[in-house]
Amino acid sequence: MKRPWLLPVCLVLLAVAATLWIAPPSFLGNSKAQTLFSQGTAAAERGDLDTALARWENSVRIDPSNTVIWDMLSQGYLKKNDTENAIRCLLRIAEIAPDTPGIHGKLAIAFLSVQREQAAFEEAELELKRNPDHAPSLGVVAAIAGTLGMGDERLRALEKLSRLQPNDIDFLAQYCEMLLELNRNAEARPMIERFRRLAPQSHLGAIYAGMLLFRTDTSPAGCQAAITLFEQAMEQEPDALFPRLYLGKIYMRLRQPEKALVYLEVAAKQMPGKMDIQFELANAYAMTRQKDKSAEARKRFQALRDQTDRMQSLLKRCALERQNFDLFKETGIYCLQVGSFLNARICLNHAENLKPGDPEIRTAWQDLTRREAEQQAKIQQITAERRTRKGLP
Amino acid sequence: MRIICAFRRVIFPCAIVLCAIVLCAILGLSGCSRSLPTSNHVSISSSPSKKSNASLFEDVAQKSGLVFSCDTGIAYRKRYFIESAAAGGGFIDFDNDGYLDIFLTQCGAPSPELLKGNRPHCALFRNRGGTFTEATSGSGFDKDLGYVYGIAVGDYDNDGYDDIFLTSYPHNWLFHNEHGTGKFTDVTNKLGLGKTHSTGFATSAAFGDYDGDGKLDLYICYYAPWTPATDKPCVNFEHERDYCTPEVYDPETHQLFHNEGATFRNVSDASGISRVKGRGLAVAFVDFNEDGKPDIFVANDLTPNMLWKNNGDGTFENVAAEAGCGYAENGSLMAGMGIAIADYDRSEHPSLFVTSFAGMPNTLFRNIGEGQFENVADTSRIAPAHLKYLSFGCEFLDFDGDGWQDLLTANGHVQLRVNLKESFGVEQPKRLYRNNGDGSFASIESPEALGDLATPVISRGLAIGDFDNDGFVDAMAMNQNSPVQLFRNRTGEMALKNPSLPRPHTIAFHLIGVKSNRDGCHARLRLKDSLGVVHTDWVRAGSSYLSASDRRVYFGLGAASGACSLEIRWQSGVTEKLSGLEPDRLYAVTEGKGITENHPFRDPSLMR
Repeated sequence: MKRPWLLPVCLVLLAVAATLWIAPPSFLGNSKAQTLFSQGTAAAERGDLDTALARWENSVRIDPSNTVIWDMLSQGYLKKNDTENAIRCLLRIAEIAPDTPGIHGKLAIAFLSVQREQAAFEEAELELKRNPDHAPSLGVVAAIAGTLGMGDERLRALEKLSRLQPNDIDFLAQYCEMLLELNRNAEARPMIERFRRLAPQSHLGAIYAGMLLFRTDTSPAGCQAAITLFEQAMEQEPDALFPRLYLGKIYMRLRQPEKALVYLEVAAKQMPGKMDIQFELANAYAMTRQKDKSAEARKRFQALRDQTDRMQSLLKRCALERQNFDLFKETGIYCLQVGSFLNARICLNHAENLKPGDPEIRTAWQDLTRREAEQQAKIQQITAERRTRKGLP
Repeated sequence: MRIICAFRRVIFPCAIVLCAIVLCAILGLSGCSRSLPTSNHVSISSSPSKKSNASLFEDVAQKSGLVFSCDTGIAYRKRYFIESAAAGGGFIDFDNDGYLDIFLTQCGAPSPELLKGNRPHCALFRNRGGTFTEATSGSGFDKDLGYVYGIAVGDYDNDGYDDIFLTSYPHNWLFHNEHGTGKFTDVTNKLGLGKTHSTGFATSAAFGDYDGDGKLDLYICYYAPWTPATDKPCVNFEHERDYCTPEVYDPETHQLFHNEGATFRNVSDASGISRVKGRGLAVAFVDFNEDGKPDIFVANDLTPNMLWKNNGDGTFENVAAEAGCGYAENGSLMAGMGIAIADYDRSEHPSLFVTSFAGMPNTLFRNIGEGQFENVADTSRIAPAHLKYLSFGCEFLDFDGDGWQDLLTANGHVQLRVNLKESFGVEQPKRLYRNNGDGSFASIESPEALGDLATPVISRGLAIGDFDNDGFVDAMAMNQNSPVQLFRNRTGEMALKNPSLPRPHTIAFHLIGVKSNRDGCHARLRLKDSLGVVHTDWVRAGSSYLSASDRRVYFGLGAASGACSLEIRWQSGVTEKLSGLEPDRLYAVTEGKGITENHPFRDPSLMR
């Protein structure tokens, strides 16, 4: 039986549904909020961000459940580099509509930008629960998980990113490094090859390939090939940090400790806090019968080793005992002492959340801020010197 | 390792980059009464399940009557840390009949409070010439001994019979062998070993005579201060409760006991041993600098290995870092699990092999003389071939009798779930490495050749010993929640079956100390075969993991079929020279008296 009325009714229903879908639901029956919102949008289009933000704030005060206004506000604040306010708006959206696609990912990135790494990590994890392929959240996890004592999570994130964004050389470089670090040489090989194809001018490609060769081919020919790669890396980037260390290692393997020392001593100056250089130095001095120097290098190595072990042990425990204020405080202060500022910040942040107002933590924060500023200045100075040396503006 | 700044891709790079840069910057023994085998009676049946003509080892546990499984308490679902590393055992000829008997440790409930009903017992098996019958009942081991971990075997009172020390939670145990009757008496408290525990749990232990007074002392490894109440909850990547990684537990001090005859005295403080803490898993006495004073090497889990140099005055000094065996490549920590010691390169120096975690290379520390080691894990080709395996027990053994010490490891993961890209799996096969004779090893990959070694299980302890006295060293693996494996070495049998292959010759020595400790521990044997090749070995005092291996010393001679000569340097300083030693025999040598017994090895053709 034909029903001639059916088609027009369906069309009407569809039209209503579309209207409800497209129009922000809370504007229904709230014209003042809508007017303010439109004024704000017009101001934003003119480039008057302050007016836009003021109008949107007024609009959202009238219509506090409107996620569209909160979203515009968050974008506006981000554009103004007012990340704390942007976070406030994003958190509101997450509260009103927790299923909003990408909301936790946005929060993760915002938190990361204000150095609240723990919160960033948690938001990224929430986003990934809904969308396991959410690349920005994977990026956040890759950036933070390692320092939270969750190496497995970092590896999985990088592995996924290397598939989702195969041409992204930054992620690829991180992935190559992590695979090499974990001795997963067979998996590292194709990634390194891809990296070298994508970034033939980068000295990192030669370094990765050299490291892989050092691990997998211990023959004299393999050593020679690795030497060539590290020399190439030094040509591409004379200040590169790793080639000299590896050249030192290779010459040790070839039982030429005198030659190894030439590289290792320079590497030690480049990276005085890197313990494996001190370890190799101690061995090289011992092989050349320079007992005192060997003992000094070993002492330096041991001190660095002890620091790292203590820090890693504390961080592992923090991962297990999330409510332990004393542990987070101890870890934060220790990380600050040994110069691991990122870890210090994560732990101090968490401790502060657990128990606000602790005077020792306040002092530690002040110290951290000062030392980070000093470090930043130093880095800028070094960068400027390098640019000058290379004749760059 | 951070070569680039890791966080660059994620918005607002500057501050983060800064931090990453900072991260970069920090970042018969007994006894003369012991007799050697005189019978060729063997009743091991043929046709093993996985045996092919090419298989080098065959698991004969079940068919020879060795039926036992170590219950780690996994069914209690507590995932207590202590469960992850259990399952030990070893060879001990407790009745001095010349055949190696077997002791296996048992665990059960990881906490006394969880115990429902009776705890399963450890087991003692008597070797009746190649087959085993259980002899636990009435032995003294048929009671609740707690959560038993490891075993050390030694004749601590020099009465000619091997005694048994067990590490266990919450108490260790020392059992005196009542003269081979099959009964053992608990002498733990009587001899002053009742207070060995702090708050931690002990793992491996070893007997050795560090001061040369002729009495065996005792080193006990401790892992961490741990009780069921302080166990920490951890989860794996599937968010399931799983065993924790070591860093969440503090390391513990180890203990050294001096044998004073009537008692053992705790000399941990006086000797200096307690100065350094480590998550100890394996221990062996080894005279690494060849000064005649046994030193002690300890493999620690994510804490530096210890090499306790014996100062000769009752004190020790940890020289692992200076000697080059404290760390793995790059100065990274090892997850040191097991120890094997041998002169694998015919340098006449004892080198050290240490097993490690999956993804972390096992390490071979080659002894280059003058008390120095070099890490040759890469150049020996052991490290790359082993990265997907998590190894515990390990031993050097010349399985093919060619005169070069090969290497066997027992493997199995500690966690319930693993990433298959970084690990073979939770259950893992054994790994066998053939010594190429040029400083390198080749892993034997063929499942046909490996035979039953290729069966994946969760192994922990590994002991070696020629249980059938055929002249070829066999092996036993202690597994978690699955049957113990007894691997008969088929080299002799295979050579008989294939006359086109020359049968390799072997020769073995059972040392009986008189002035030195009766076990002959620490004696150095230097054998010159009929082709002029010099082989060096030592009477073992600890090795592997939670295990006790055959103390008899076996030399593979390959094609050298003529008479050998032997120089023994006993711990007492006595040097003995013997000549005209025919191969394919087992010799008992008593300190100062020369050969006191010798017998041909049993005919391998009868052992099927």
